[in-house]
Amino acid sequence: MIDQLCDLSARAVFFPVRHHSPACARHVRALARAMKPAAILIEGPSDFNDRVRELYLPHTLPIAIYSYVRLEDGARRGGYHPFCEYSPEWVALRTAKELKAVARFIDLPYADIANIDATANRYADRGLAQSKFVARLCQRAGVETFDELWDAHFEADRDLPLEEFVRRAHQFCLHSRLMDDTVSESDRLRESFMAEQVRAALKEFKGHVLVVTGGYHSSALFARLNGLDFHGTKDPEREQDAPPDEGERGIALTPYSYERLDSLRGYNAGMPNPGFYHQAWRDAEAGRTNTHRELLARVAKVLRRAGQPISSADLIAAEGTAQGLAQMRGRTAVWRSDLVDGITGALIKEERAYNMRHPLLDAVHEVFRGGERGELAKGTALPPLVTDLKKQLAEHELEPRQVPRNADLDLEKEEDRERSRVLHRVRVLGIAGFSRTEGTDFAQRGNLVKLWERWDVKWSPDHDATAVEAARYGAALLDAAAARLTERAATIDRNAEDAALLVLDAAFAGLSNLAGEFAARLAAIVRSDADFFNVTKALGHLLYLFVHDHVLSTSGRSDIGALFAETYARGLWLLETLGQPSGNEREATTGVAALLDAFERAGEALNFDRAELVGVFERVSASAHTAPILRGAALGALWTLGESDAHRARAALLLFADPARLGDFLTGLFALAREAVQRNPDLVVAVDQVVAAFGDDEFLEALPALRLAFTYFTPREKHHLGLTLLGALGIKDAASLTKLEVTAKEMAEALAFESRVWDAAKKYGVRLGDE
Amino acid sequence: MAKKPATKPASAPTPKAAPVADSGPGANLQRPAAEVLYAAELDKLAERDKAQPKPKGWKLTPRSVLSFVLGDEDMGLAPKFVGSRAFLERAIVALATNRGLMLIGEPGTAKSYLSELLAAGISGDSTLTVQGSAGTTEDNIKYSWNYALLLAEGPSERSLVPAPVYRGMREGKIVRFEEITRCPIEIQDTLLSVLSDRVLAIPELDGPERSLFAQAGFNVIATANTRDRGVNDMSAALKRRFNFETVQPIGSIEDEMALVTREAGKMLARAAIPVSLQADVVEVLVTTFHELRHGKTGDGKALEPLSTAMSTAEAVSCAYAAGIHAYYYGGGDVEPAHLVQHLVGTALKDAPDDVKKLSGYFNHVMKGRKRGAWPAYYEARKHLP
Ligand SMILES: Nc1ncnc2c1ncn2[C@@H]1O[C@H](COP(=O)(O)OP(=O)(O)OP(=O)(O)O)[C@@H](O)[C@H]1O
Ligand SMILES: [Mg+2]
Repeated sequence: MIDQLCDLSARAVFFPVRHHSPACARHVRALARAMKPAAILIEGPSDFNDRVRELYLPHTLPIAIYSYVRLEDGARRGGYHPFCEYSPEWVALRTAKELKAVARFIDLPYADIANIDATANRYADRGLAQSKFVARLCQRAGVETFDELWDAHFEADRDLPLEEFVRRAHQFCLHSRLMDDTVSESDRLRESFMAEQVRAALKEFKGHVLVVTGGYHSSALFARLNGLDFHGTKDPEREQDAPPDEGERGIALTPYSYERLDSLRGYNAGMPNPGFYHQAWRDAEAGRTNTHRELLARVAKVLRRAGQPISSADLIAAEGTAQGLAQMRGRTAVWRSDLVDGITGALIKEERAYNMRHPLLDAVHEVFRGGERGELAKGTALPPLVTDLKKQLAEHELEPRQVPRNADLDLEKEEDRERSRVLHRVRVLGIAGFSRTEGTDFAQRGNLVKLWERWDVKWSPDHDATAVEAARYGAALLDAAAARLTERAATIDRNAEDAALLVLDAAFAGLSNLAGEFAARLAAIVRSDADFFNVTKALGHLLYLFVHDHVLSTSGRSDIGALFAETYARGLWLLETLGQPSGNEREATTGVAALLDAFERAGEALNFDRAELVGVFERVSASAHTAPILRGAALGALWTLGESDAHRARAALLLFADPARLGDFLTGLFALAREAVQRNPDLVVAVDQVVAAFGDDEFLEALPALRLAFTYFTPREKHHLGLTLLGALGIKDAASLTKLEVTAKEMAEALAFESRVWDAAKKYGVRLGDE
Repeated sequence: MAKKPATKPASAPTPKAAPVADSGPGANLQRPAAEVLYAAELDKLAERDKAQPKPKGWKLTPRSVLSFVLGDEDMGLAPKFVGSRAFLERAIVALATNRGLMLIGEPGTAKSYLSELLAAGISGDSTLTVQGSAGTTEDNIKYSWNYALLLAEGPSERSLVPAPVYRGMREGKIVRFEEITRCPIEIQDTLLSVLSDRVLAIPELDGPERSLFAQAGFNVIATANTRDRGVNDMSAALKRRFNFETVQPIGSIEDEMALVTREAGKMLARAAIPVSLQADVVEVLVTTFHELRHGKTGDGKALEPLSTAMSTAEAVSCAYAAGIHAYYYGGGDVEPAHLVQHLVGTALKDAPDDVKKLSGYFNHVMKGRKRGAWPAYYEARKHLP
């Protein structure tokens, strides 16, 4: 089969590409020029064929063909076919024009398979990258990633002859295909469709046909056309869904950026480091060598800008090491990983934490990412987002005008809520001219009596530019906002509260569910946060959304519930390892209260395990290495849960009968068991006994924290506790106590003074009162 | 006692007779040097490299050094150091381009072991070693005198007692400088001229013997432990003469399992203790070390890092200790409960915060694991203090 695949004189020649590979781009052009095909068939959305002309306008790359669709269940999906100047598909298009050959896309419209294939980057390398063959080759070659393997075999050697390149690529892709366990349904449907297009083209055109597709598909297409039995060419049985209505799907050009291209991960990943390959492509085009030197110079520039200049001696050392590495790896020129390793080896002079960033490597990555941002040529249809934006703003009477105006929204009214959602989407996308100036603070939740917002709406000169810019996030306002939020989630580093606030933003924007990648990322953030305070604050926000909200349509939603449960579990664990929260003891009780609250309000709905919660509180309350305030809080929580009682609280008091600890312990206890304590006022009598045993200095030491502890009670409650105490002490006339109008500070000073008097009296042998 | 877990045979290679059996090179040594232990491998590689261009003074090509250190199944080279190939390539290229190599990292990441392997591969000799400490003097590094001869004959090559750097320069070999940051900075700095000018001044001697010029092949591999004294205690001038490489702990759990099984197996074999480590038991042990070390569980939950390094070396000794325990006090099978007991001894020493973190790990991470030896391991948490 390999020999047939590599026959470059066949009527239909299959050229296997890795998307975004400059080497493939170069060779596909050479092949096309040599074989002068009548048609070049390219893996790309066939529903764009009638508009291929638009691609030939003088755009600034990168740009993408964006396909979008609304599925039957209401979910929206979008897919990109991104093009850089070194993309094989792009170069194939240009070469077709040069050769006056027909250029045609042959893939299924994305909208037709979006329901079974959510991969947004339509030029991802999933098939190749995931194959066991590649994993095994990497292992044998001792490289860590598919990208390095690809570099070593296909990119780094510019002088590889065309035939050799094609043979190698076919061999590589064929084996990857054969060792892939399952060829997905979507791939089989697409291949069936593509094969059909090739067949039709062979009928339609007299001459040769060049078929440019991902290498993973080449062999399968060849097999289908030649009626061969081949792995993964069985057509799936599929009842055809009714195609989505017009208006529910669309396709258009949209600007793209290297930053976005480089940020793709997982299923969506393609070739990384567009900045590197861009430069490598340009150098090869111009016949220049020494790409690495230019890039190294740029790294130096980035570092200088960041205030971390590196000397020329350093640069020489880095280059020397890079060259040594290239040589050892059997390459003629310094390539991507040689440069990274050269810089790492020669210039980093300290320990590198595992998987951690380093300013030097950040600079390298910035250069490797590249800063190119695409722009559509004048005369291209406006990106769909801009059209949708105009429509939505008009529908809700929110168009920006020269004269600024306010929009006051009452969130209890559905129509105002819808306007609010539109405005929040616009805000999330950073489209100029709209700002929320006042309204209910849902993050603080101080006052939730009136739920409202005030927005400033005015035309801004940046409005159009920012709208076009935002078009890269999607075709419809809602999708684009969702994509933007997902992107923002990717930039949050271990801060659960930030993640929860992002969920709040998603709720404002009216995202009816936290879709796959977004939800996964949020959960990952929560899991990676090791800060008890962040996590319990996040819990508070999510509790509001899941239980209390009635205007954002989030209460009871299962996606929010899932994140809430994740956050709760994380909070419990962190509580147990918290130990001594120095400085913010008070907040720690708030955190414990948030956990208890979460359990009490949502535990049933979400099946929280009571025994687990009790177990954690038990261990915390008993742990000798834990701060008294936390132990008190844990005990208080147990009491509130009905898992502890006044008897145990009294016993615990004795453990904390130490002026440095008593107040803190009680603060924790009272914060979490306010009601239980009131029901058992004799606890205060026990406290009194402990305090009575203190000496004066000890009492003064204990006083501030004791005072704090009692602030958890309202004046009424304190009065009640006071009466109980006086009753127990046999003091009838309590009225005089309440008349005392001094501040605690004055009181403390008075006591301190009194204590000094006592000391002085003792020293001079004076007997005072009834000592 | 924990219930005996269902054991399945180890999937990781069971410890076959380790190279240090009762015959073969270095059989009677407690710990033979790498070039003795692996003499046959080195010969084979040297044979392959006979006609290849090599860096001056090297016994092998850089590629062969790499194969030697990482092992190569096809060539019958035993796996030794486990680590990323790119990292090792950087380390070897540093040495080949005449820069010193500084290996830094947490304790127990095999810095010393790696420097030994590199020296054995490059120079065929890993014994030129300076052990750094607060008391290290120039004499220990460069040379000293035989005072009897010195008094009798005056300073001469005969009365000079060479130290590792002197020998490395004269013979064109790699010199290993262990724990360099434990030495006072002035002592470290004696390497400055040696590394930049590649010449050692011997002011006591006359004529051409006053300067010892380094033979090609001379270079220095230093190691430093980031826990006890970081590389901050090193002059900028000296730093500039080294390429720094951080030795990372082993990245993959499978690799680490294989290594722990292999190394602990060797140690048990040497102690003539017929206990074998089952794969599921090694799995829980290595996973615990791995997750606590990286501060992250397999499913991405962040853990508070412990104050001990939780190194692979400690995992090996924990497995070894558990093996002994099982043999003398148990039924002969290493059970999760043995591990937990030794985990406390090897890893936690006596940091109360670590104990809390460890029990948090047991209670919140392990509880959910139902496979293999996990449930028994979770049950054994009662052995935690
Ligand atoms: N990556 C690894 N590859 C092979 N063995 C390893 C690895 N990591 C740890 N080991 C094991 O750990 C043992 C101890 O290594 P070594 O003494 O060289 O560590 P070190 O980094 O020098 O520690 P220290 O900083 O305490 O001196 C090795 O002999 C080996 O059994
Ligand atoms: Mg060491």
